Amino acid sequence: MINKNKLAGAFLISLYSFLVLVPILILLLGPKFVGRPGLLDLSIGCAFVGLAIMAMQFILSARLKKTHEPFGTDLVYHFHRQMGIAAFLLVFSHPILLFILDIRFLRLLNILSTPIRVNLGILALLLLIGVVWMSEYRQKFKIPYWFWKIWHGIFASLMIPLALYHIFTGGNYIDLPWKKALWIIYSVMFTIIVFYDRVLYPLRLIKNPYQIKQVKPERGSVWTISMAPVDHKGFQFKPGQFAWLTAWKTPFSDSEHPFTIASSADNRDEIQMSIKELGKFTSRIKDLKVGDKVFLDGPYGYYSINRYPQTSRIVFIPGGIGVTPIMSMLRTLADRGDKRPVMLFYCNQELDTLTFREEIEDLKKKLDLQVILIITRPPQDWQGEKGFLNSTILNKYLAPEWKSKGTEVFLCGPAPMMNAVEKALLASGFDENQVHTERFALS
Amino acid sequence: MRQRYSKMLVYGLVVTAIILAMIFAFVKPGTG
Repeated sequence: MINKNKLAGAFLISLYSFLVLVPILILLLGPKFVGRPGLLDLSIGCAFVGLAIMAMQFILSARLKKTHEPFGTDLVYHFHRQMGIAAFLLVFSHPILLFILDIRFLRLLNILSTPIRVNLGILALLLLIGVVWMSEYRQKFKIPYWFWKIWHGIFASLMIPLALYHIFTGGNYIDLPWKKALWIIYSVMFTIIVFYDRVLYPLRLIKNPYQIKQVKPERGSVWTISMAPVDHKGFQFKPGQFAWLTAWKTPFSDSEHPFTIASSADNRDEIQMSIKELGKFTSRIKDLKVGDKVFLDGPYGYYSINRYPQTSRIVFIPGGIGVTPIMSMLRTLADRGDKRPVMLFYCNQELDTLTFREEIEDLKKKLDLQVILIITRPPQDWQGEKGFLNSTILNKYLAPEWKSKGTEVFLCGPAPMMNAVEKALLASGFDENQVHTERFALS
Repeated sequence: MRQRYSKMLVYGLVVTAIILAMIFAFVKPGTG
């Protein structure tokens, strides 16, 4: 039987590829511009594809759950980021090729004498450079997440109309009605997506608020907030999925932050998120009060045991606060009375800051759960595993049957830890298809 | 692993786009 998700994924990739390549296909199908320099045509072709990619970026980043489902939101965002760089290179090659063709094109850079359509095209390119630069160097230059998010949206939303104006008013590459129609369709699609994402979607979230029921401190500077839907049913999620949280502001502020849902997927009355104090927003979580109104947008994410109902054994490998999706899966398995053997390799810097330490011990009573703690800086009397999780530790606890096809491994933690553990898992004999990860570097 | 597939798709699309753009630019009637 063909997997429904794979089919949907193949369809979406085909549709995306078509929509990105259609501007150049249309140029190919139309009349050839005989006598016109090849470099000029090449620069136009690259710019057209670059702009189509830019327009499609809004669909990739929009909160369209169906487009995220087959791939996972982390992968869609990763792809969005890479395609942003591709769009930049293609669009940037447009002026560069023109300058190579004829150095006199450099005169167009004189903003006082150049036509307005060229100035607006240059402005669109500058905005694109701004968007790509901020996204690539946000962490290096410590640009706050909220600042980046706001300006990313503003720059991106401005550059599309500017670039479209540049195209519509320039030359005979879109002189035929059906060529114009293509760019009109892109413009309409862009407007609809932006309107949906910035107006309709926030309105829907406002109509379905949540109320804080509890704010509880946990080990490791982590705060668990419990939220209940106010006069609506809430949403059904799979354990391991995440949602966007907006607190102290309305969803129109575009200031939501993604957090994994840590509670059991079988409890629809209350949703819990366990949030570590890491930045400006996360450090304020403890200030939320019982009764405060917040907004949740979810569920999103691909990372869940629910996707592998046939698996016989489960290995969870959390690192630090990466334990939250694992807790949701453990709690759900416990609520369901799951009898499958589960192995938990929990990596943390210190024993004292090991979030959910006591609850994990309790879960051993409800599940066939073996817990191995790997502590980087253990206390002096520590008898357990020390340092970092490696293939030696994995081989010590995992018998050969654990590495066979019936095992699924869920890994979640900081990127360096995930990279190292992924290598260790493959070195221990796991197949890469058995290892499931979710990689986020947003908030 | 999933990120590797994503990278392959990005490269595939960009290379295809550039090849198509080059065909559009340099393969014209009378140019052989």
